[in-house]
Amino acid sequence: MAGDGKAGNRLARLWRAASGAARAVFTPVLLGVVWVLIFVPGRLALVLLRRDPLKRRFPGGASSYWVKSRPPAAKDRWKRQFS
Amino acid sequence: MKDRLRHLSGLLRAVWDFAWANRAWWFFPLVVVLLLVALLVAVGSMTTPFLYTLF
Amino acid sequence: MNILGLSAFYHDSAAALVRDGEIIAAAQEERFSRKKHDADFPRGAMEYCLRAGGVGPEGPDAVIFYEKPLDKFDRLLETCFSVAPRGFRSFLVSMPLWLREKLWIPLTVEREMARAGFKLPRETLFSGHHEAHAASAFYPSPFERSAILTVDGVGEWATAAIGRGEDSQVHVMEEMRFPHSLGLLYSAFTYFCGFRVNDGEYKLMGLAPYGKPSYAGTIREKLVDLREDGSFRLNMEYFGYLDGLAMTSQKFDALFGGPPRKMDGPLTMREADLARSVQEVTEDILLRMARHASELTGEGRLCLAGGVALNCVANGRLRREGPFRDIWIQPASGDAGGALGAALAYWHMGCDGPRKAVPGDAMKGAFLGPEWTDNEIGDILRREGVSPRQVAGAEWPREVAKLVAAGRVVGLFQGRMEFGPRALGNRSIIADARVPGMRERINAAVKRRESFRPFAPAVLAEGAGEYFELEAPSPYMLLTAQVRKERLREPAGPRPASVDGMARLELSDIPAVTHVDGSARIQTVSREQNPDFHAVLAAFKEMTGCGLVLNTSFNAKDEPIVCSPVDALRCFREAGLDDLAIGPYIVSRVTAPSPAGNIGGVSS
Repeated sequence: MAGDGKAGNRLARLWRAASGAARAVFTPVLLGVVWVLIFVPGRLALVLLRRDPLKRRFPGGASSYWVKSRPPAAKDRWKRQFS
Repeated sequence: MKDRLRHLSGLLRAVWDFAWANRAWWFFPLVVVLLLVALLVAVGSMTTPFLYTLF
Repeated sequence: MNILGLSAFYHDSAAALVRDGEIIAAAQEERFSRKKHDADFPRGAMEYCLRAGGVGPEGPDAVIFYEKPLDKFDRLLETCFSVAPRGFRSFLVSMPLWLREKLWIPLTVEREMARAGFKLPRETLFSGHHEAHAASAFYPSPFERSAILTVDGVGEWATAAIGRGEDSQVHVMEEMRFPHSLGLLYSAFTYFCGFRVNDGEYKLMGLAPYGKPSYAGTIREKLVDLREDGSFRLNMEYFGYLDGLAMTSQKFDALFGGPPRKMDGPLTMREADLARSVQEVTEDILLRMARHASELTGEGRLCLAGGVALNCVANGRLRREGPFRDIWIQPASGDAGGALGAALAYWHMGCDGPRKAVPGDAMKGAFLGPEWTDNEIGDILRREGVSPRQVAGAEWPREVAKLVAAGRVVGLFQGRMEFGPRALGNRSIIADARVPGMRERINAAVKRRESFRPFAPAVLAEGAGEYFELEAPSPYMLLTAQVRKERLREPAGPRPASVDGMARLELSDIPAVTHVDGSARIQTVSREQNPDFHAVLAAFKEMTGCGLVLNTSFNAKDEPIVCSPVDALRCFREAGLDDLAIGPYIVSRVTAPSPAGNIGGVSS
């Protein structure tokens, strides 16, 4: 019947809008949980272990900051999403 | 969605290989957790609109 | 064997097709989607490249992406660990993109290829980011062996890399790692001076000659711990890109006397001085890196790529003052060129494809994009309601030159579109560089951009030495050099104190292309690389005695360079060009040409 199509469309649009709103709320909440439970303790661990992956000590006190690159791996390295 | 499931095993495999090759043990579980979060958000945002329809 | 290279998801997505080691086609997605610096999957570019290569539904033999996503993701996560709890907002912005898109590249490639009607080969391949840059720098070069230096913002972890290319092998030997990056340093100042990051670096370079390097000392002391060999550490307390969404921190503001310039705010001497200062430090770093590369590899030639290789002022110095006897720079040095580099790297090192260094280079003048036939152009023009004047082949160069000689601003559209950020005569706006006020006119009315931005000359390669102190060719507009002293003119009266004031000075007999410090960003045009453009320049020289024209990219404000005849027509109308020379046709505005250079006028 003619009316159904329009109602169906409206419903779909409302659903999408509601989904979007839900996503906008869920995302920061869940990621926030991960941040607090994993990343913050992770930082603590790095501090306790005195490790800095980003080597931020300034000035660094080295005569050179060039780092030797890893030689390319086997022939099938092209398939890999990492070096 | 089905495509994602198909590629998921490839992705997890790659993530596992990365962790192994780089001795970065935290990498695999962390990526799994993050992917789970993405899944939860996706599922949550698809089903919670249901609540609106109940009112 | 057809190899499709792809770059996407950061900025300047692009696709490239390499067949048996030969570069067949390459283009940036922004030209097709008409979105500047489009970072989405390069659908249009991909389809173009595959069709241009005659690839049928069976698809290419291999598809390769220009960087390693997991290494990059690792870098992102480790950065988060290193700054938490700060950086949550940044985490919130980047994580969804990774979880939905950037970790799923094989899926995206599969979907997009199916959508375009091509079969995907077994699986998507991946090259390293700087490996792709290095490959794009070395393989198309004319050298059988050379040192390779790639410098950019950041790839996976590397921000700069030194390597060696020999015959068909490229390997990276040393690198500098995130967050210590020359590209990001430059971008930080770009941001601070009120320009858009990954877009405005070029403008910062253009602003530099207006200022004095009064902040260089501060930069070297507080921001950069620079070593003799060009490697350095940045003092991350001054930068915001680790944990925030801005490039610089409040400490940076305090150091340089105030907050960043707002994007549309007035340009003061502070910005000019900052630009000059960071430019000087950048040049110093590059020269040191080059010297170190020379010592490390023992090679006499250098290949250059990565976003920082677009800094043509630094390149000019490298050529003049550096330790290498010859330098080749990839015209598409940024991430777009990564698509090309990835494909080339896979051919030579993944497939053991042979290499034959081509004299000149293998970039085909960087003319790797789409072209339209004369008939197609005619049909399109007529369909758009234009009745153009058709010019016979032999007459065409003279007709175009006549327009330019009459002081008109001409849109030039012919042949294949350029790959890389510069327009080299196929999608260009050209004008007479000698006409007073021409530069102001084009800046203000045609391109509607900042008055301080200089224009570049396209000069007959054989006559370049008459105008510039240039010893070697510069076919891709990647090098600057000084205008010859005899041609320079001292302006009357004291030098204006403002950027705008200085921008209005006319400092030589080719004022429109002479920058405030007497330099020019030169394009040498050779008959072999672009016969049609060369013919126009030759005709112009014959008519006027001047062997160069102003060459700026064919686009209006805030849009990418035009790609198709429809784009060209739209820009011609919007930007108020006097004429459009497209294929064998000339479309002219019948209304009188604007004030600057009004000499008679040519009617359609």
